Amino acid sequence: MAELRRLLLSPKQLVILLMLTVINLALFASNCRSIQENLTEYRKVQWEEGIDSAAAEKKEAAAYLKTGYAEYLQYVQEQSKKQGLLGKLSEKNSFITRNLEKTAKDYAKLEGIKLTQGQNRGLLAVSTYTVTDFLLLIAPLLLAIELAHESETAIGALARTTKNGHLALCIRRIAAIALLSAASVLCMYCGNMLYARRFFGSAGLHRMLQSVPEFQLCSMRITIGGYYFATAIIKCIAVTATALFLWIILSRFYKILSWLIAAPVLILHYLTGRLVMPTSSFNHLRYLNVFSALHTSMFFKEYCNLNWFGHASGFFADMLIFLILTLLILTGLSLYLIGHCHPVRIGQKLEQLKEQIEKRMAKHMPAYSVFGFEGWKLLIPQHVLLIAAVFSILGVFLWNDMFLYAPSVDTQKFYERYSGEITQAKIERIARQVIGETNRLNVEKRNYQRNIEQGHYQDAAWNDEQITICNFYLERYETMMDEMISLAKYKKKTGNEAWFLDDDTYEKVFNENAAEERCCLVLLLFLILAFYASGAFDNRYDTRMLLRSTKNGRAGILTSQIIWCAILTAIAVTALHGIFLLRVSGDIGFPMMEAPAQSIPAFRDLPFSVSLRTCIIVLMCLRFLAAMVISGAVMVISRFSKTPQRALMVSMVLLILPTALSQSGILPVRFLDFAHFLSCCKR
Amino acid sequence: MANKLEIRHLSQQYGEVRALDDVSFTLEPGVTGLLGANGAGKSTLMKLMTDHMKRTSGEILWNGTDILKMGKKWRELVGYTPQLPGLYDDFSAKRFLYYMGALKGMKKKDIREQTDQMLAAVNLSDCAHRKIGTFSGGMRQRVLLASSLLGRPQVLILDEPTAGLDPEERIRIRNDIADLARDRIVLLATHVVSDIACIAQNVLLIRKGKAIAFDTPLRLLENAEGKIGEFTGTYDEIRSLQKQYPNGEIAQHKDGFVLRVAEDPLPEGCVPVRDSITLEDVCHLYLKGDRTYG
Repeated sequence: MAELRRLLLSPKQLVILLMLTVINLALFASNCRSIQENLTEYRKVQWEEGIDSAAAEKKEAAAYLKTGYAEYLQYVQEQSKKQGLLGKLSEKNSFITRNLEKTAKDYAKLEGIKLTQGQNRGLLAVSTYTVTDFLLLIAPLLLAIELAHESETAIGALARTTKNGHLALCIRRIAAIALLSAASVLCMYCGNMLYARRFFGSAGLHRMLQSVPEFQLCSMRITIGGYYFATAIIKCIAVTATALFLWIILSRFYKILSWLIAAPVLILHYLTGRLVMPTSSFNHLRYLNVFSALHTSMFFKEYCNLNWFGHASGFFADMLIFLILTLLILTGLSLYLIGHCHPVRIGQKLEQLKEQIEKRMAKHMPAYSVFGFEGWKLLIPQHVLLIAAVFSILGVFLWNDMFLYAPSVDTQKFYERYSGEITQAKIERIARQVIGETNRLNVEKRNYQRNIEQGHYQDAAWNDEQITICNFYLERYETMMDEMISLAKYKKKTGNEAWFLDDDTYEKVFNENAAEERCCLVLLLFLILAFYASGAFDNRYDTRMLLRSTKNGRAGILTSQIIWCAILTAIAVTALHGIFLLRVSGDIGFPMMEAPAQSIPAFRDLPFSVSLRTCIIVLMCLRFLAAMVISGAVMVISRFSKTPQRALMVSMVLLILPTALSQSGILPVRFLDFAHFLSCCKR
Repeated sequence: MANKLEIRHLSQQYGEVRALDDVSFTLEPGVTGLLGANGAGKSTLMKLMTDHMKRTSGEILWNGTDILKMGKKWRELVGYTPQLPGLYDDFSAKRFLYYMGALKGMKKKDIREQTDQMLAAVNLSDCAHRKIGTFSGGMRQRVLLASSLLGRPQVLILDEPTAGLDPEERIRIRNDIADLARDRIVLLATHVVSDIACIAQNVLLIRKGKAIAFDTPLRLLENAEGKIGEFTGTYDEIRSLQKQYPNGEIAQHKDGFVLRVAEDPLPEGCVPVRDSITLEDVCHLYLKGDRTYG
């Protein structure tokens, strides 16, 4: 128990778990908001095209529940019979025949299941969100790395000399990894479920899983509650197995060789799970895969029978057997190799080779200035270069994930014609246009209404749709005219210029935007990870006193560190917001950048005259300053922390925790949202 | 005129604790050994001398100018080896010395030249490109010593530079320090009396923050005459006597067991030692009963 308590209830472990939970929650919450916003945006665009997508979806869902699923089951049986006949003609005992028989048998069991309507969006959000699956791995893998490292230290040697220092200790450590995996799943995956329930509404745990069209292929009689439970257990086993694998490798091999084995094995295993197609002859590699098990939902969204020497076997059962066997084998190996055998490691030659290479490289090492050395310290031993590379990749994924909808062609034409400086003549022209359009649409609307009343058209729904479109255009023209009049009044009242323009793009830049805030959370994370070790690195090695005794060891070091911090922060801010601006300007464009800032609602109250272009430049500068404030805060925390680990934890607790809580809506204290602070946007 | 470092009425207070109490002495070129128990105030004195902390009162004058006024100029003159081997594990020895050279404001050409010289001086040329993380305690200590010598400082402040070294290395380093001290001031704090016994021109003894003696080793030895003595007897007799003199050192001679004590005046039955008084005995005499000494 003491070992379990030491490993699981240490403040460090608890903070790691807490931070991962909160970060996961913030990311998931942001993802849910993005889903909601994208849906709204999509519906808006569809609406502009005259399509009521919400009604269409409802109709589709109702049709699926009423007849769609039953038809699908019937189709499976029919196909099976048809194909079966063909199969019997060719080869009676072939995999194809057996597969068809099994498929028909599996789906026959589902005849008559009761499907009910409910809120599916939460379940879909949880089942498709794979970031959590990777976050689940972090705490157990860190524990595995820590345990492997500990065995190299004096504590490890001391522990092995004690009575219970071999097998008994190993059993407890395996239990600790398993418990930590379970805790991670409980905190993060179950956290997602609860948040999705809160955000989208209850999915109805008692409903059959097949009630959700995306799970139509599932051949198990299982409720949504059962699905959640099963996936949590499977994820837990998969995480434990991965952590045990890493622990064994790191404990039995020297550092380089261990990572040369572990990293390719894990990456290849992951890639085979992702890249092998379900229809491939080697689909065993896809489904008998720990990472596939970790992304458990595929086993409920797909249907497949694996070919075992001509016999068809259900992929879910096979995956379960594979997973349990893997776990048992890895547990056995851990007990034998770590608990029983002597702690001998393999691969020392590679370490020596690395040392030789480092020596050769060091021979050509230049004598840097203090600034150069501080940069080197930050980039190489403090791993900022590596962190930056990882975040660059992450950034690319994030931006690819961002949806931007350009306004409809009609709207664009209207703005092209009338946007710009507001003059009396223009107002009158627009007013005439709007009144003309309004009258035309009113006439059209009346015609449609008359058509409905007189029953001229068979399909009443079509008429309804046309009326909806008319209403929409009317509303839009009225809004535009109101905006014009309000701008004219504003000009008269304040004397400030305010142009009529499409402010949609500017709203995306200056106002709250889910995608952008998520990227600011990434920026916040980057700044913390980049600078958490800046001061604590010296404290950890107790070099502070020695450095301070030198001529440039005080202001020289500090100035260099601040300059490096500014350079890296500027690069990060430019990369993040610059790409955003480029994407927005590429996809939608920034119209009328020379227009006065007061032209957009966000700057209506600005007391001085300035163009929108200047506003964007100022905003970028403010964002840089905000990022510098955060970087500075992290550097101060680091300076007063004894170790980098402690600095990281304190920074996470002080900066990420309130941000994540605020973003997920748990803590409604907006001023503690540091990601929002970094975005410098008006909320 | 020779350089002079004067410490005048230096005091340092940590809350209720007085770590240094009105300490005064003057250092001139040569080695000055600083002896005292753990917590006696040695490291505090060194921290004040390297301007690492704000002093409570007193002055530290370099050729008449307070080092606080000198700022960077003072630090340019000082080479310091801290007690804890504070080194970056990820740096190679050479890279660390380059870094220290840059921090000392040396020219790049001088850094390269002197780094090679210093590494050779501390016998680390073969390991110059190895990561410090793989070094033994003694090797790390030598890297620190080399770093303190970079830039040829006028004042060397060495806080236990021989800790963790094997006897052979200790002798080597001791001799190197003696060579270096010909034209510069060296303050060498240590627990190991033999480190300074043969190379120190002066010895400063600190006890509970107070400088209780500052003199040449010879004068200190002379002062100790008649205060160092020995009891001879069986093991049991000596053991029971040691209860009275817990700082007495037991040794086994051919005619029995001996308990060597440093007392003023010597107790009855104790035979004074005449010719073989060592600096170790002097320390026992001045610092006995002090926390963790010896």
